[in-house]
Formats: sequence, structure tokens, C-alpha cells
Amino acid sequence: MARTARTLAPLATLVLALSGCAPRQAAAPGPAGAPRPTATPKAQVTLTVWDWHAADPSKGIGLWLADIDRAFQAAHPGIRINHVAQSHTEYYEILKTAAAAADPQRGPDVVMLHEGSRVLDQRQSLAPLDKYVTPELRRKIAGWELVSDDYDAAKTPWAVPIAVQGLVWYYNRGLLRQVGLDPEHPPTKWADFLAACDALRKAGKAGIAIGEKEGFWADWFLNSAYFQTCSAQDRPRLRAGGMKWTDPKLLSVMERLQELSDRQCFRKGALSTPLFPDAGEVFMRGDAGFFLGLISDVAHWKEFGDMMGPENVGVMTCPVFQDGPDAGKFPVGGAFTYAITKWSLHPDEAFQYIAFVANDENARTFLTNVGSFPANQTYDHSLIADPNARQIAQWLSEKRTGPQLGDMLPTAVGEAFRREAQSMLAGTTTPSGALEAVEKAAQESRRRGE
Amino acid sequence: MRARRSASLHAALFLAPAILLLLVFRVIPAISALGHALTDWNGVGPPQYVGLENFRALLHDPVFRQALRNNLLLVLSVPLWIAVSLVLALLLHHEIPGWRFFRGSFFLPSVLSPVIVGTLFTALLRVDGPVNRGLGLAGVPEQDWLGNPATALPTLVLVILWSVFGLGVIVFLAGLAAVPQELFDAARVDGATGFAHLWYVVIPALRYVIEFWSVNLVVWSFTSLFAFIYVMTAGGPGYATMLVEYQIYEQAFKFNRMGYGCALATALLLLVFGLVLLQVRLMATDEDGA
Repeated sequence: MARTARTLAPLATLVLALSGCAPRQAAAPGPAGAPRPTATPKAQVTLTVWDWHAADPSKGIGLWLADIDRAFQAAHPGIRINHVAQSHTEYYEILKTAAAAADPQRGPDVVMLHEGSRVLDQRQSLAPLDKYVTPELRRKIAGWELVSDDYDAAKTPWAVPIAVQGLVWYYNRGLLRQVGLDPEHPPTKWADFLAACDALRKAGKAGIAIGEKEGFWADWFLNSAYFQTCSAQDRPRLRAGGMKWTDPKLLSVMERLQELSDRQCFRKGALSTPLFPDAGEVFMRGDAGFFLGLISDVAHWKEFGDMMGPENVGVMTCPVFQDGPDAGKFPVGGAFTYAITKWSLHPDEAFQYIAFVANDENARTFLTNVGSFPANQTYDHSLIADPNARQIAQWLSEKRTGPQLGDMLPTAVGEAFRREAQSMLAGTTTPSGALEAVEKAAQESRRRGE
Repeated sequence: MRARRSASLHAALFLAPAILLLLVFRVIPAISALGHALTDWNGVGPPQYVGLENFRALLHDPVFRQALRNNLLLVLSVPLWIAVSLVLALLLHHEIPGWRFFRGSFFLPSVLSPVIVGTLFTALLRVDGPVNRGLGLAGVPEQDWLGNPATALPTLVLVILWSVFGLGVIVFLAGLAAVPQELFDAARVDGATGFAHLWYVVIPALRYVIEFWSVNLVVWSFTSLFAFIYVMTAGGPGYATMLVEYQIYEQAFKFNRMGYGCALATALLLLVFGLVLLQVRLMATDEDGA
């Protein structure tokens, strides 16, 4: 009997231990929609903020965010910021896990998201921001259409844009001079651009530094070039199915991409080279004449200016192959935003934090210290010293911009385009074959209601 | 009677933690995945029952067909993975000069994480990397090994071989250690050398070890190469190196199609189970016939 009791003792302990866990589990909030424990009034509030920029608080955006956190906590003694850096590569996978757990004790209150479909795809996990976004905020900040229902700035916003992102073409002035071109007048026409690539190749350099391992470069090219063939009305038509991917307007863009490959404008090994940081490094080393890059964060005027000297870098928009409705424009979108999770116990404090990040002073330091364009448009243009940044700011103020095509596409369709473009550049499919496959993916995506 | 009951109770108690762990981390998730394969679920909201719709979609999915084709091509390389390990194990067993050094160095890649191996070979195989430079000295034109659809999968096979052969060598060395030395001596006296020695003596003697290792490799080739693909090619260029396990990840975590991802996982489970069953049956039939 005693032996049996000794044997059962550990089992009983285990059962007791498990049952001891039970009350805490019962009290823990369930998935979104389940009752939440109420916050203790007047208690110190801790806001957990997730993003992919906070990994290195010693420089760049990481330092900018760390400074903001300190300033915010000083101005709001009752709120503590717990800034958690997450991997950019797996960010949305990690976020999905957090959304499935919907744990207000451990999950984030504020999350960084890319503009466009990345925000709208997460709506189930986010709190709507209608009651927080004031008319003044709407006036100051650009990009509301990329974070609002149906891509309509007048409808419910789900995030606050913090930065402005866009795609422009950078060129190496020295290399252009070396091959007999005038860097003050870069080749903005398609035929001239191809001729410049030929000249660079003959001089032992690559025309364009490209990294297509992830398929992003083709995506960027599409976003950069589609203005020349598509009108503003074509974008929603493409998403809704009114315009097919096989439309001659898109086929023309795809054929230009193929032409760049056929003319050997790309550096060898493009399909196994990552875009970040490898392709950018090729450009900064002076091994290629052109780079399709960003206007904020990375692979942009500041990074190139710091490495090559601003006087050696030039900026232009996509070379024009067709004088379409918006030729000469460049795409903006895909920058980072901040949103509030649905399960946060402190949505008011969370929005206080987001509004603080997006305020006028932080917009100014984002431009001057980080070297990126803020979504808050109140900054003083005279603060910009870099000539390329000045040029971009001028284009922004002249509204020579349009939305990125990719921002409105469901993730699966974007991925299908990237993979088919890779196959095309590898020579296993044609421009029309690639677009037919993307069209099938788009039809399947619409059928699923994405 | 009482003693037997007590022994059973003890056995149950000792087994309970292992069974509990298996249930919680293996059986229940597997059953849950089977259930979710019948739903349209984005991983966050409530799943919607759709019957066999995901499996119907799977049959018409060109990416799945391509991934399956790539997986089957990988399975075809399993004999190569076995042969290399077996020959090297035999050389070590016969204590060739430097065998102690080789035994350690062969095993070294097996203890490296696939992520490290993948990163290392991605750098080595770049167009301007050391492999192309070395081949360039021999007059071989540079290749984009991982960026060319024709070479990407074969290159992956060789990288995986480099990563796994050491473990195979250890497995076969252990098997060879159990074979009586007299058998090899007798074969040598009878004049069995080279290929005849391998084919008529070593392989029959190691039959069960080879069976065990080949079943392992087949399962492994379907279920454990994710890290290599993720680091080296991400399934590209295009879909040239897409495997079913990578497609499961993309569908479930990139496209928020958890239900479809579960259907793919279920199909993969059934496929691997069927292949292993076939493999074991064929081996058993061969044994009966022998």
C-alpha cells in the first residue's frame, strides 16, 4: 500500500501542478473577441512595440527610435516603452503567431507594418483608428490611402504612415563620365539608357547592379515603369480583375525587362544575388552604372552619398520607353507604418505613442538625422543638404509620384509575379507566358476573396 | 498477481512523460493539421469547413506539381548519397593512410547547422566566388550555379550530399564493425577485390544498415531540407528548387493559407508514408526471394 502511495505521489503532484495552472489559464484572455482582463487604473502602463528597425539602437532608424522612446517616456512618466526588435525576414510570420495567441500580457501593443496590402491583410489583428486620426493629422501626414479600407483615404485607417518610401534610379556620375556621357544629362530615354548600358559593359562594368534572388528587383522595375503604360484607373481595375495581367500595357513593361536581360544590362549572377545588401554594394563599389533604389531607409541617397560622396551620385526616374499618361513619375509606398493591435489593453496610450513618433519634430530629425523622408510633410525643405535628396524632395512636392502597383496586390499574386519574372529572366518562360501564369494566380486569389 | 500489477503501474508511470510529450507535440498537432486541411483558415480567424476543396485545389496546383517533381528528383539522388558514404566508410574500415584524420573530418559537416552550410556554399558558389575562380583556372567558364534553373537543383543535391555523407559514413562504419573480419579475409582469399568485394561481400553484409539508412534518407529528403532551400535559393529561380515542404511554409505563413498548407502537409505525410511502405515492402520481398 505504502509502495503504491509512493508511486502515485509523483502523479498526484503532476496533477496538482497542472490544476494549479488552471486558474491562471482560465483568467488568461482568449483569442480576439474573448473578454479581456481590465487594466488597473493609474498603474504604470507598459507598451510593447514591435518593429524590424530597432535592432541597432546605435545608428540610423534604430537610434532615432531609441531617442524617441526616451523623449516619450520623459514626457509621459506613466508609460514605459518596451521596444522589441524582430527579424525583418520572418516579421510577418512572427506577427501571425502573436495574432493567433492574442495575448495582451506578452504580445505587442504597437506593431510596425509596411504600407499597402501588409496593413490591410492584418486587419483582423488590428484596431481601427477612426476615432484617433484627427483632421490635422490627416492633413500633415501623406499616404493615408495605403493604410485605409479599399485603399481609400476617406475610409477607416488601420495604421499611421511614418515614412515615405519610393523607387528612383541612382547612377554613378564618375562611371557615366568615364564612358563619355554627361552626368548632368543622364540617359532618361530608353534607347539612350540601353546605349549607356552597352557602353558601360564595353568598359568592363555592368549597366545595372541587380539582385534578383528574392525576385524583388523585377517587382521594383514593374512598379517603376508601369506609369508609362497604365493610367491611374488601371490599378484598381487590375486588382478587381477588370484588367488582365496579360494586357498589352503590362506586357510592354515585361518585354522591357526581358530586353534589359537580352542586352546584358545586368551584372552576371543576378538570379543568385540578394538585393540587400549585395546589389547595393556592387553599385557603391563602382562596378555598375545604375541602381534602382529606395528614397528612404536603405539602398538610398544617404547610404550611397556616405559611401561614394554625394557629388558622385545622381538620381533620375525610370528611363522612358513610352510616353504614357504618367511617364516621368516615380512610385511611392511600401514604407513603414505603426498600428495598434486589437488585443492591446492600452489603445489610447498606444496611439499617444504613435502620434508622438509621427510628430513634426520627429519628422524633422527623421529627415536630418536618419536621412529618410517622413510621412509628416511639415518638414522644412531647406534642411536638406544632399543634392539628390533635394531633387527627390522637389519631385515629391511637385507630386511627380504615384502609388506602387505592388502595394495593392495580394501577397500571393505579388509572389507569383516575382517567381515568374525570375523564370523569364532565367529563360524558362516568355514575357507573355509569365504574365499568363500571374493572371491565373490573380484569378485564383480573387476566387478566394483576397 | 499484485506484483505484476505493480510492475505494470510502474511501467505506465515511466512511459507517461514520453507518451504525454509525443501526444502533445506530435499526435495532437498532426490530427489538428488533418482537421484544418478540411478548412479555409488564415491562422487567426475561425476556420471555415470546406470539405475536400483544398485537396481538389492541390491537384490543380502547378506549383505543387513542380515541387513534387523536384522532391522526386531529390529521391533519385539518394543512391548517390548512400554510395558515397558506403565507399568512404569501407576505405576508413580498411584503415587507409590518414584514416583517423579523415574519420573526424568527414563527420565535421554533419555537426554544422544547415543554415551555416547553406550560407557557406551560397558564398562559395557565387558567380565571382572561389568555386568559379578555381574552375576558371581550368578553363571552365563561370556559372551561376544557384541562379540557373538547369544547375540549381543538382547543385543543391551536391551541397546536401556534402552535409550528410559524414553521418552516413559513421552509420556504415558502425555496421562494418559488426561484420566478422573472417568474412572479409575469406573473400580476399577467394580473390574478391575492388567492385566484386563491394558488391558480393560488403553490400550483403550491410544489407540491414543500408535499408535503415536509405529509409532515413528518403524521409529526410522530403521533410528536412527546408533550411537549405530557405538560405540558398528560396525555391527559385522561379520554382526550380521549390520543394513541397517549402511550399507548405509559403502557403501557411506567407500567404496566410493555413488550411491549404495543412492539406499540403497531409499530402506530404501520405506520400512519404506510402513511399516508405513501398520501400520496406520491396526490401522484404527481395529478402524473401533471396
